[in-house]
Amino acid sequence: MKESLMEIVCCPMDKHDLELDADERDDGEIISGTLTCTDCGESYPIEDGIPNLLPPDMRDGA
Amino acid sequence: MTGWLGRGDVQFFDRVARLYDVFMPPSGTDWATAAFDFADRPVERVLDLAGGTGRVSAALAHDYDPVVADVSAGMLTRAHDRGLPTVRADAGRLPLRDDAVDAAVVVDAYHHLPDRAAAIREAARVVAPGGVVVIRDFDPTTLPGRGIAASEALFGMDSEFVAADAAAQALTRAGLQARVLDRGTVYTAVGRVPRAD
Repeated sequence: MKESLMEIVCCPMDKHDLELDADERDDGEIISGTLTCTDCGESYPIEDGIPNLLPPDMRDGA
Repeated sequence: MTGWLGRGDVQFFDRVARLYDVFMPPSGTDWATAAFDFADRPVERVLDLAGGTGRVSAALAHDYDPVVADVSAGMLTRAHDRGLPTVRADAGRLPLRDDAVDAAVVVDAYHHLPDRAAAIREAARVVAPGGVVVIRDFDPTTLPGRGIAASEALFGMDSEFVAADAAAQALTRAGLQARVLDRGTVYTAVGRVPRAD
């Protein structure tokens, strides 16, 4: 994901802001890392450049 | 409702992601131009809800700034490889801020959403005032639409197709000013988010 996506994303549960912690960057894109809710503390993974912002109860498959 | 394919047929789409684009024709954007004309604000940022492989967003990207949201990681990987911004998300609990986008579109996907009412409510929340929520899908009350609905049922999909007027009513129920723009095998229903005054 591009860092500019931070302008529009939020926590799916309480809609509060997310804090970005990038582990791996490539050419302006964040390849892996985490997004953590500044309110509830839930953290969401960024995997292969795609932020997984599914609610925690849906995260492990369908 | 959950069929054997799983919630919102996600497992199916994870499996067919690579084949999907071969069978689905490229998406034109005339319908989007018409639907966005109904907006009462300039449309730049567009949420492509249940946007899968990014087939629609790739076409929209020529004129707009789309973001693809989908439950299926397999489909999203294709969209990501196309260079499109992607977010793995549940349509009923969107990880997008209030008023984050100018328009949200649900193309060929409304019938797959597990909770359509929640999805439309969320779409209405993330679209800024004056912006639009657009549903484009097959109409099951038309003969070809009925055929498509029947074939998806044969594949064991959970899909439930919704007629044009019912889609417009769903938009109205979410507090939007709704109208049907196209009627036929494929319809476009659009709802405008009211301004506060």
